[in-house]
Amino acid sequence: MNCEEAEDLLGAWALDALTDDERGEMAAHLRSCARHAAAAADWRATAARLAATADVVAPPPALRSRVLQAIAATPQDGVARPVLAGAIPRAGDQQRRRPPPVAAARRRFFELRPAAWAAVAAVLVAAVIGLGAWNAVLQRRSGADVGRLATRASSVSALRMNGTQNAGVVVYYANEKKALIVTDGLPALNAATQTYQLWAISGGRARSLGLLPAPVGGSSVAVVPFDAGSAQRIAVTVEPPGGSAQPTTPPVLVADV
Amino acid sequence: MQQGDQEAVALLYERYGGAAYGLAYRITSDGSAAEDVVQDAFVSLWKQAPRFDPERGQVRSWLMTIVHHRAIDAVRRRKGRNERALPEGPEEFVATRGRPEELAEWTLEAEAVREAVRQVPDEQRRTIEMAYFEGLTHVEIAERMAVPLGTVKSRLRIGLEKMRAYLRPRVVE
Repeated sequence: MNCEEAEDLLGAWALDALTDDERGEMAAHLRSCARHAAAAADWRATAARLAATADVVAPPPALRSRVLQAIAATPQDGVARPVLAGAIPRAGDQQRRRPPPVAAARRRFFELRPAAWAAVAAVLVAAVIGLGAWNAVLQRRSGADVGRLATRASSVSALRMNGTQNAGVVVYYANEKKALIVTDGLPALNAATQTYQLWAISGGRARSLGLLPAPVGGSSVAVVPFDAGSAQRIAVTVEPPGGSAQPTTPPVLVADV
Repeated sequence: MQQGDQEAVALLYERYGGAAYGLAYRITSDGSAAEDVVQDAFVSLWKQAPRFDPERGQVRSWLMTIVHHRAIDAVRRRKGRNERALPEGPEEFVATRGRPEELAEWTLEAEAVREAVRQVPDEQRRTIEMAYFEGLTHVEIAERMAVPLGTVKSRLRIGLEKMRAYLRPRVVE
């Protein structure tokens, strides 16, 4: 296979849509052609992102215990160091963590446009300082890391619980008329009887923004359509399963956007 | 065996189990097969966890790659076709730490990718989806769509390029 033929097949390669013979020929070409090897990896990374377009579907409840039982019964390959253990913060993690190398930094998903993100990150930092767990995030991570969430953002606001307690952030994207809502320390509800619902509040009127996914470890994330030109506040209430047409309980979380 | 790792996988399941199951179900259209795929994927993740380089990627990316591959293989097995080896090792990806901002990134990424797919013309998008979600080769797609093989190659290449172009300003490559 020559370079021209490989170029022609990049899309099919990335999507693993080549025949067995073609796949072998392409693999051989990529081993000898640095240019196409790099391009193929890039294209395959794009193809892999298609996974995100599948709907999230709640698995049957029994699957969780099946998975965990299978894991408990399965030895790990040549255990050297428990990298995944980083998912559970441990004492001393901050000291052990190495600064990310340039190559890793370049993999960050959201582009950090120097002029734009620096200003936005400053807003985010200002909003986040004092936000409890988010403050801890800031302390253990660089401004650039935090800025990833603020790229393209127009404003960042604190989510308040019970009027004062900080419980997450709302990142607003004016150009896209969307808001990213990240909660922290939100209590779990009995899903059979209750759910969290998001609202856009304007002049005392509430418009539903949909249900907030059940928090895991206190954290929940939602992206909702929101226009700060027509509403100035986002609120979260506890409602019956499926949500309500209008809030039926006082807000547990509020953010002024 | 590391107790911390088991807790970490449990947390990953809480965070990404729905996405993994959703992808597996979309591909297999079979709840039982999707469950097997998800279990297999998490066990693979668990077995290979010690090999992850925390500085080099996202464990969710690797998880979803495994889910996709296993699900396509399940469909191919049903059709009596050969399974394939996983295309890349986990060293290409990095472990997650399961923090809220990481979940937020995943949510934003899903939004961006869906928008990128919407930018792709219908015929190209349908061709890409037949390859990704149905596991068809470009030869099979050409037969199914009754178009020349060259047309399928072009649709896959141009459609994917449109996605890349849309994501590029939002993605550091």
